[in-house]
Amino acid sequence: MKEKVNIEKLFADKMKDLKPMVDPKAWSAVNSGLMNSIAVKSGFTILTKTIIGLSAASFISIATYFVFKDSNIEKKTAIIKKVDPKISEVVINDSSVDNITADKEPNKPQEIKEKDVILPLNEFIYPKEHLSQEDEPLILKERTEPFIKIEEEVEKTIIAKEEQKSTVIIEETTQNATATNFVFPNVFTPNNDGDNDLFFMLEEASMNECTAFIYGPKGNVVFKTNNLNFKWNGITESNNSAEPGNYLLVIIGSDGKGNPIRYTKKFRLIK
Amino acid sequence: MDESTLIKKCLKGNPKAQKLLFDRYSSKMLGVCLRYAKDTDQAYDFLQEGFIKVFTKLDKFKGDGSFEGWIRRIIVNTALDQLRKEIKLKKNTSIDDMYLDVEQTLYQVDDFFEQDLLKLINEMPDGYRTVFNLFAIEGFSHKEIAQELNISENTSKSQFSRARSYLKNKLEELGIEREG
Repeated sequence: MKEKVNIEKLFADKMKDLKPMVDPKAWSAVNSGLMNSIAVKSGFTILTKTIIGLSAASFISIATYFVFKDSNIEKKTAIIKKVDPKISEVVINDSSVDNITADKEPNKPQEIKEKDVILPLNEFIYPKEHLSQEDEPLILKERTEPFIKIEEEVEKTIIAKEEQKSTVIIEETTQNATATNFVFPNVFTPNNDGDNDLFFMLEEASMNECTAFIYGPKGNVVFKTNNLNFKWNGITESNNSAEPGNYLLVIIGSDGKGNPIRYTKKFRLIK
Repeated sequence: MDESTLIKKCLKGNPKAQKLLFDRYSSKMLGVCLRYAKDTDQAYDFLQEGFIKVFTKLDKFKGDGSFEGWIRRIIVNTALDQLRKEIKLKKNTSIDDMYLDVEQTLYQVDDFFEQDLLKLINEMPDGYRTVFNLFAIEGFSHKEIAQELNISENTSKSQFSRARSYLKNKLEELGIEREG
């Protein structure tokens, strides 16, 4: 009859001789880690050598001094004994830096180094997407969301426009704007009918250190200017007339007093 | 190449010897790491960090006792260093001092696959997993575990008994699945 065991023994027996295949990448990570620590170590040895060298030099000079002062050989050996411990002390101090028992204590500078070292595999595990997401300018993140939500508002505008039969100004929807009172229309019709043919700020503002970007439906910059009192006529940077669709105005910069400004405004281009 | 020659060559920084040493022990040590880690990525983190320590501290190996045991201790210490941080963070939620008694159930070793059991261990909360590993597999006492993880002895006991009852339930599920 087969032996029956309790949970601990079951796991101990099964887990004791676990020998999974090791990913070859693990060795390259360890190896590159070692390269790094060797570089650090050789730095230490140079330091040690210097210290030893210095103490040796001082030993010689002291010894010579005593030799000249007193030719007694016994004294000379006494000095050698006196200076010697110094040298060995330096060596011992150095090696105790990475003593095994120190491993239970958080040895911070060393830990950081070793984490840097393991990067190769981490990089492999976590794709670079993480990095590029953070590197991406904030503006690009902004643009995607408003476009989806715009529909309702624009429809309201159009209805309102039909009712009032005049140019309609809709209230602002600002996102993350810091102390800005920019007023832009949310509809733009560059069709030379004399109504809304230019896109511009309705209340003039004097902000010198700002840049305005207008993003087109495909997410590309179609217009860019440093003058906030610009009047856009619907001609893109590539000299084409802008397509109908959803657009996003982004203004970034500062108000001249050092306060950052970030303003976004979605609007629709209709022809 | 015998062990002492290998160690000597590694101490001189011979890359071939280092690779050989890694190849000789890495598989078994990965097995150890897998038990302490919550997933394979973390196990490799432990393994790499641990082996870098093995090589940089090789001159501290005095030759008394087994070399494999020495490596293993470094690897386990490395894993615990990392886990300690994580356990400390979750202390309030996952570790408490209640002690539960679980009745003994007996199992037949051949009824279970290693991979299934390893998966159960990996899925356990950090506290359960660490204490279970140290107590049931490495054979430390609760007192030693308490010191090592900076928790009370009772916490170690309660974590262990919780781990046991957790595993017991999971093993039953496994058994049922297999029969069904």
